[in-house]
Amino acid sequence: MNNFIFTFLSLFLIWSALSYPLTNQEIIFGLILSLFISILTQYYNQRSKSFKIKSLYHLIKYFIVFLIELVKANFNMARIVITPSLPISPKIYEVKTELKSNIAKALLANSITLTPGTISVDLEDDTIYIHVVEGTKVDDVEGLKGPFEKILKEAFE
Amino acid sequence: MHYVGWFFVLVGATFSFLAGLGIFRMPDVLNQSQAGTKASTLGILALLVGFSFINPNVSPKLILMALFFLFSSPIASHTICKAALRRNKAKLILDSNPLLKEGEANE
Repeated sequence: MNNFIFTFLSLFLIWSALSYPLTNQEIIFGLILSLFISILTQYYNQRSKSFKIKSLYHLIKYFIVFLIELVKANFNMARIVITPSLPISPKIYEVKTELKSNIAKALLANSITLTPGTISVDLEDDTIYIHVVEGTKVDDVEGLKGPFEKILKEAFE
Repeated sequence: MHYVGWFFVLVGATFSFLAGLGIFRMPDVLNQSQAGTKASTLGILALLVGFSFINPNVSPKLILMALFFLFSSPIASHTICKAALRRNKAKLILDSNPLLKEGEANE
């Protein structure tokens, strides 16, 4: 039931974002459509884990931390690009992750890509290969994952 | 309101320019995609924020676009990097290529 409400709400939100400024007609049509689609997909939702309000809170926290790291990463990259001597020393590191679910792993790889100076190159089982621009500056390999693994672990497990 | 919007557009344009410069200056595929993904992500986000300040009527659509971009751009760069490493096209300053198994020759 929880999943049903979640599907319905997110579908309706996307519908209203797409057809903003809303008229009455559009609101009613959107409600009917999202209800219909969430009834259709209920069968698939039953097999996945039910959605918790608590993980929504953690996801919002994750998003805010993510935005801050993104801005930091951009200034870092801008500094490297502008510096005339191009201070790079690329290296690839292997990092183990403790996350189990696929969505969490994908989100972790995504956020590693958008954090300062790192990019996730490949993901095999629980090993992430990380490419680092300034390889000589890395002293703690686990630190490459940033604050994201803890937050994602709380959100999905 | 308009001035805030144009300020954000200016910031976005600057970061997009830096992304292009990064792609031009970096020596190999991996570093190029580093510069390309990061700077262009913030550049495009800032552009979208600026546009939504200028014309608030379209801002929900722009937010959806921004979310989609946040998820798709790292995936694209991830795939490009993986392909480059698998085909050994990256001119690496590395000890070894971890994605190639033993026996596959390093050219």
